[in-house]
Amino acid sequence: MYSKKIIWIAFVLMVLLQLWAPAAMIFNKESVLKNGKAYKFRSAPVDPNDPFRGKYIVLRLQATSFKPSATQKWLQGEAVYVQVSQDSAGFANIAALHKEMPESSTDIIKATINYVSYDSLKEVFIEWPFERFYMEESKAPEAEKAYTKAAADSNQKTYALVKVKNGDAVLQNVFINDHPISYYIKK
Amino acid sequence: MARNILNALPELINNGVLTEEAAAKVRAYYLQQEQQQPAKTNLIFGILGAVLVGLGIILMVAHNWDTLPHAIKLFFSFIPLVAGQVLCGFTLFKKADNRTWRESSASFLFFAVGASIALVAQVYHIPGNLASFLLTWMLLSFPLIYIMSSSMVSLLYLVGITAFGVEDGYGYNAADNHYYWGLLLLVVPFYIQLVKNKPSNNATFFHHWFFALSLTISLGTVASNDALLMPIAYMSMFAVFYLLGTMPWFGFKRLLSNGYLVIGSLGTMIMLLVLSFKFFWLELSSANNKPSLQELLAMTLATLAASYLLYLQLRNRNAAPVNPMGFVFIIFIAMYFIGVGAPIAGVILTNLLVLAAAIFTMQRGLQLNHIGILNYGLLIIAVLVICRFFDTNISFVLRGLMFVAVGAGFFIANSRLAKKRKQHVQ
Repeated sequence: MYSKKIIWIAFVLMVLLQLWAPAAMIFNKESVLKNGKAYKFRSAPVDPNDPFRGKYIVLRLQATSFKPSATQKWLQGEAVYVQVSQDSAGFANIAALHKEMPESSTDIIKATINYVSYDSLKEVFIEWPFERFYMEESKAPEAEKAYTKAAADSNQKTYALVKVKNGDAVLQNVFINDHPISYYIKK
Repeated sequence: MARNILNALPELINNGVLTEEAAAKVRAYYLQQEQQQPAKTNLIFGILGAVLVGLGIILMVAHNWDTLPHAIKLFFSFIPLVAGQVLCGFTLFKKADNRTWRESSASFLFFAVGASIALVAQVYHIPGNLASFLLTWMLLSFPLIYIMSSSMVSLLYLVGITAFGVEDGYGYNAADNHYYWGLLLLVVPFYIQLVKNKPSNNATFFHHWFFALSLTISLGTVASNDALLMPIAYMSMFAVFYLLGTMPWFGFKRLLSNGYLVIGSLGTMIMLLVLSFKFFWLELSSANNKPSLQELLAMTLATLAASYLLYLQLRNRNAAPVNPMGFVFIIFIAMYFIGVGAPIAGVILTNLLVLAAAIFTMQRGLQLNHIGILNYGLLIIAVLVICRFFDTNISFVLRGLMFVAVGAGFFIANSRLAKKRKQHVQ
């Protein structure tokens, strides 16, 4: 049907592309993990299922809403560059929202607008790109139990450790009282 | 079937129905068919094996072996991918003419691509919604359709892009990008080649079904808030399917192989039955939002395509009457614009149109001496009557009479056809 030469060229291109896609993802994320700035996001979790990627915990991050200035207009589903800062206890907060990637990009995370509330005060809700923590299928329900218990107890600190670089963010681990979640499953 | 014929041969020769010579030809024909059979079985089991192994790998990936270090997990994510690529390369190099090798290695690589992206996403906890995952997977896999000339991957790709379209285009936070249509266009050249080169191959029949189903599921993604023009868009699209299904050059022999005819006809009837209720017409006349541009575009394209196909059929009919079902979409458009101003007229006209289509179908069943078509017509009336059963403003007596009439119709029509068949035999 097609000439052999064209088929081979197309085949090699396809093979390279198929290898490049996951490899690019790996390089990108590794560089964020290695060189990114660390932020702690306070959270509480639930445990659902993903047919392709298995079991994970959904993190209910606390820093999700922000009241932007009246001049800025935001639409649901729109991309947003979130500037984060740290509060006195060392947890991440939303400091500002940007339409474009700002020049100083150390504290910026690219996210999406989840929804905008128009009640009395206009408030914007953010969907973070690190709301899932994938775990081995038998461990996810146990981790969820440990996490829900800790989250209900106001004396316990539960948070997600996130590395941030050039607008990209990678979830490194989930902690309860400064121990990684795997520590509570072994106990 | 072949066994039965071969067993009957001696009897047919003894009774002088067949000559020895003709019987030998029949035997030779079936022998040849039987020799081709193993290739077909190999093909089916080859594809089935590849698909099962591929799905198995995805499930194992989903377990998430979190005791393994990152580097090893990432290494494993490339193993099925590279294995699939090597298999496909080997097939191209050594077994390019072997369909079993082409189809099964391509299907395996298709799943391996999905598994490797999923595993990497899992390692880095990338939530990336299902839609963007499917989009990446399908874009990385579609070259396989052409390079390996694989109809199985083409079918899997159609399933994948339909799932993507549903995930991306329906519901809360639906995206407005309509990538589905671009993805669909990518597979069209392969489909056209299949229809041209292998019109009566099973793979081609499956493609007819998958194309029609995918379009039926995905057309709704272009709808705007009120979706006012969508009934016309769907009606015209079902007309396109119906008219394609009745085109002689498609070479349809059995109803089962003719996805276009089945989906076109059922789709038209279901749409009309849904629109025979009052709610749609009342909403239509009170709506004040303008339809979106893409909705208008979908409606125009579908209607133009249906009109063109109808024109082709009218031109090439060779004095044979054109099936009136092909005109339903035009009648519907006229009714639609009457219904905008006078909703009750729209309701009544839709009910009459369903009734007319049902009566016509029954008449055709009687004409063609076909019990299936006859009962399809009766079924349409029965469903219409059941739908009206829920209209509280029709009196019980009238509704009762309608049910009795349809029930009696089933008996009378079927017994008439049975009688006619008996006369034929005599």
